[in-house]
Amino acid sequence: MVNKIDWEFYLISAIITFIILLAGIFFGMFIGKEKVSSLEQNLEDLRVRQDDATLSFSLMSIFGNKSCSIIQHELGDTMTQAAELGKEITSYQNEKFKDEGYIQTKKDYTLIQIRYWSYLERLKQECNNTNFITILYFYSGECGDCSKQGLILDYLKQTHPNNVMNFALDYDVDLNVIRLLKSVYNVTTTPTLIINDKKYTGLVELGQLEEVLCKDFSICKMS
Amino acid sequence: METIDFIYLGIYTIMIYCSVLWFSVFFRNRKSVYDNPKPKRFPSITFLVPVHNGRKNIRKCLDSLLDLKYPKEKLNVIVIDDGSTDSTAEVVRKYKDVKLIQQEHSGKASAMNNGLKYVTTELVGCMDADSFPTKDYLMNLVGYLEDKKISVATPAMRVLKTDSIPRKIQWIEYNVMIFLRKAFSLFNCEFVIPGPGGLYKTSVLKKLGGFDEGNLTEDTEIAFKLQDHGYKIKNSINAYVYTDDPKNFKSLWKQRIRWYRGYLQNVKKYSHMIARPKYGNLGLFLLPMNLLWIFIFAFMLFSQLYLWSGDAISFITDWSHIGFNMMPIHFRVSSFLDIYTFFAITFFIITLLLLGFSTTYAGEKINLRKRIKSYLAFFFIYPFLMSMFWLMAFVYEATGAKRKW
Repeated sequence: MVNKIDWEFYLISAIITFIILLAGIFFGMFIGKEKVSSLEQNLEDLRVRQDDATLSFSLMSIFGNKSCSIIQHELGDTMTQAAELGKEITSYQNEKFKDEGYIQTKKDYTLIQIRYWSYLERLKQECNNTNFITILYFYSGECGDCSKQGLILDYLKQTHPNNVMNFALDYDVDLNVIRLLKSVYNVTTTPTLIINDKKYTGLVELGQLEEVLCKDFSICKMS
Repeated sequence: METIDFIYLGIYTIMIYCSVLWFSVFFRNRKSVYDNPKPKRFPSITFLVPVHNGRKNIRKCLDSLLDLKYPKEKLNVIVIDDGSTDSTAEVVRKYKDVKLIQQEHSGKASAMNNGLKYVTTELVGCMDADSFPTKDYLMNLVGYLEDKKISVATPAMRVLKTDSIPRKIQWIEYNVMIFLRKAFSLFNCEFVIPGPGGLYKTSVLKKLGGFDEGNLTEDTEIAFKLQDHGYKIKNSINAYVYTDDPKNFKSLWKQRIRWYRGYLQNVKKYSHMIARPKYGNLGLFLLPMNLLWIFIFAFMLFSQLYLWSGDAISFITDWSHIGFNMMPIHFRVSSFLDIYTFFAITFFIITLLLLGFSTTYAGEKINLRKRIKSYLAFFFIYPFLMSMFWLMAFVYEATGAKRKW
């Protein structure tokens, strides 16, 4: 006794399911693209602020030490904003449907970061009363300790907002200036920290960082 | 996109496919769903009511049976007392029109087979002692059996009380089952004939040797056996039978483990039907699909637990490195927006449609305000419960644990 098979239902359901699946995939790709667009827009805002900072910085040669604290303050402010954008860019790494524009966005952001770092380094040289340290933090995707190191640095920034300037750099970004930094400081693994020119390889714990701040730079925790 | 994402997309595809299929089956037949074939004649019927210590409920059951809208002279009732130790027999004896058979306690299936021996009528119906039919039940059902190819007709099971969380959840579930059972019937792949209220052609039942006494769920077994021999099963969406469902989680657990172990046991017994077009939509589609769903439930349960616990552990580990001090967490909406959002919305819509259609076609009002606890409990608790029940039933069956009724 052969029972009737209702092939048409199987077929229609398959077609409808396929359409829904396609809609889902297109939605995913659309979201991925939109996120990059939004990152790009925020990056554009950041570029304008950096032009502003570049100009202020170049005026230092005219105004001398009088402008030191204002410029340091301004740079600090912009960098806090940049750090937020940096987190969004990093979290895009986990996006399901990555848009190719992301790579360019990441490069642009890295360049902005390094430019700020170079201003702060010059500021340290030209101004007397600078009381901050710069930390270059090299991370990568496959590094197990990097999420811990990132969190530690964020917390350090939170407890010393004006004394610690963090710069998170992706070790694998394809830029000449990154290769230059890696070569000059001899950075070969992640996580690696460059604190005011001194290299620390591997995970640096919070206690150790606070000790460095206090002993080497007299930035100690208020009791 | 990693492997796990592809697996989840595959799972979602299967879930959507099934939902679309049942919706289309129902949609195509939406106008005739409530129509039952009008009976041209009234064959004689005997109802078998196996009972074990059912003193409390049996009166309501017998009263409803005797009150059914049907020619009184064509209606017979036989109660099989399966070794009751309470006053069930005395209660039954008070009914003049009801025949009482007594046997030693040997289980429902053997009680029904015992009663079947005394059945001389053309049709035989089964009714559990803790259940009762509504007045129109028989008139809505008997017409289906006039077709030579149809050998059994199934009712629409309902539950009366929603006085506990498990009962609230089951109220919704039974509505969904009314909807799905009719869809299965329209698609010729019913695989359960509910104990209370199934109406059989006596000759067919006797020819197949009655009910399987070693089986955990003889009502599933008889459905499989009938389909295996090419007999058809049909459902009436408005032949209502009310049944007593478990009030607390513990008894619900016991019931469902028995049901799902029984289902697996019968799938194993009738495994020759799986994926065979010879056995129609039941063999080709429903049986393989049900097995797939069990794996899907198990996989989703485990992978979600694994992922969540993994995330929790790395979060706590990372947090320990800053001495468990507080840091403000910035919630970005964008980080939660991705392809999974699309499917979450899709399934939410499917669930709403399913609940809406089921409740309506089961003859109930949706009544959101009054039933809000039921809907919420069903939405949040039911998937987890089902995964657990099916998983444990599978584990028990696979490891050959002792079978309990």
